[in-house]
Amino acid sequence: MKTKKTAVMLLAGFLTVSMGTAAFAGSPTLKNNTANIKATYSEETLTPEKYYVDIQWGSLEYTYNSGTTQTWDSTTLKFKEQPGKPSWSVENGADTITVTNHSNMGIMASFSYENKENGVEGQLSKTSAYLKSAEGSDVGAAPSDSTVLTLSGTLSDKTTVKTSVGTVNVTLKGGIVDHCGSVGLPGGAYVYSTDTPGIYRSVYQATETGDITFSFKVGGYSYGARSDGKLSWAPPTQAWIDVSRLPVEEGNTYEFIFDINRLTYTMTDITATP
Amino acid sequence: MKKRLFSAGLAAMLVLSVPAVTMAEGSQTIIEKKDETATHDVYATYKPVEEAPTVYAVDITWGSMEFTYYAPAITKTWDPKTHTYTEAAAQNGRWENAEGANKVSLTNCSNAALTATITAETINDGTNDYTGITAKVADMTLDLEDASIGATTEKAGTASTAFTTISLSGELKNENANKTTIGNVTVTIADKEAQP
Repeated sequence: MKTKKTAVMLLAGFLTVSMGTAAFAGSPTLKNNTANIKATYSEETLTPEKYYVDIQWGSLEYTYNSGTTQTWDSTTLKFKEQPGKPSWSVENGADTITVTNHSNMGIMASFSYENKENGVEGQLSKTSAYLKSAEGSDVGAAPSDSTVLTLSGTLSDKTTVKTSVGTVNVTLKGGIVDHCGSVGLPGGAYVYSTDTPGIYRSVYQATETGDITFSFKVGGYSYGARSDGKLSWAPPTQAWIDVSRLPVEEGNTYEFIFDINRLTYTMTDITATP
Repeated sequence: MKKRLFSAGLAAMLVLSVPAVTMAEGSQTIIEKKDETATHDVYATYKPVEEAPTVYAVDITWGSMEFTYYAPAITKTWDPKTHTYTEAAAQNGRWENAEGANKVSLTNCSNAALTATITAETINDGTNDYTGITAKVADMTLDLEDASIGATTEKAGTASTAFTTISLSGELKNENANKTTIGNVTVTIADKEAQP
């Protein structure tokens, strides 16, 4: 991200032309023999994207109980066994994965489970989580979210020692500057940074036919898409932003490219793009 | 007298160690790149049998706990020269009991190892003060092994036994005492692991 402060200074300059040593009658005159030298003062604040994501893993150690229970008979001094229904158990917190975003950019965390053991299945309570930028939050209150893994199915009775039955993957995608979701943008969309400073991208899939409005924030400033292909903008102190209604069709996918330097944008229907 | 005790019985105190609930420890991964994937294994263990909960069963066999106090004996010595008796009293009295009357035996049929603590004390019943008499327990702590060691659904385990004895010393001043209660003996049990 980049911000700019500028001031303009003008210097009067003189343009001289070498005439050699030839002599002319009278005094030679030149037109347009003066040009201004212009300078621009600029301050830049560069805030590179910095990622620091903390993943806290529960032990992910589960026990498959056969269901057989034992009781002690103090009269016969023998054990009695009673068959029962098998079940899975896990210690408190051992089944939880928590992701905390300390970055200065939003991230999307995707969770998935890969099975190794036939007959054992795993299900995650949440398969994705958007964690906004930690800017503006205290270290101890950084955006955070969790998912819980539940196992089901049957484990072979030969697995009497701790054995890996699968893996949990947490995939992070960074570069999210904002998540837009409101009445004006049903279904919402994420706005991503690109490799070009000042250029942002979003992909929106229309959930219904009608008009949408698109506005987002970068660095505290609000930007709104207008029907003339330009972006309106508002400082952090302004609560409203000028936006236009943009027609969309249900099921279609639209790509937005925003240029906050030139305050322009493009909206392209990419539904047919493989 | 034989008495079986279960959890929270009469003169028995049951102490069970309850582990504090702790979060299962995991691990931490730090990601400092824009697009990255972290992976963690998921583990499972097959548990064939849910272990039996602890059943506490301790038999206490009490001796009669009846003791006889013999006051210091008076010896009368005949003097043939004077045709009179000279009396001399012994310095101390003595306590006696029938064989086994002072014995406390414990038999552990629980599926847990236990420690038994035996205490004895004399009392002041409001009319007579017997606290000047000392009741001593020979072995105040008895270890009782888990009776389920080696036990299966087919093969029985082995109950463990242990005993101690009570002895009295000091003067019984109440000359009218006749099987009068002068104190009590208490047995408490606790899980052996709970002991400091």
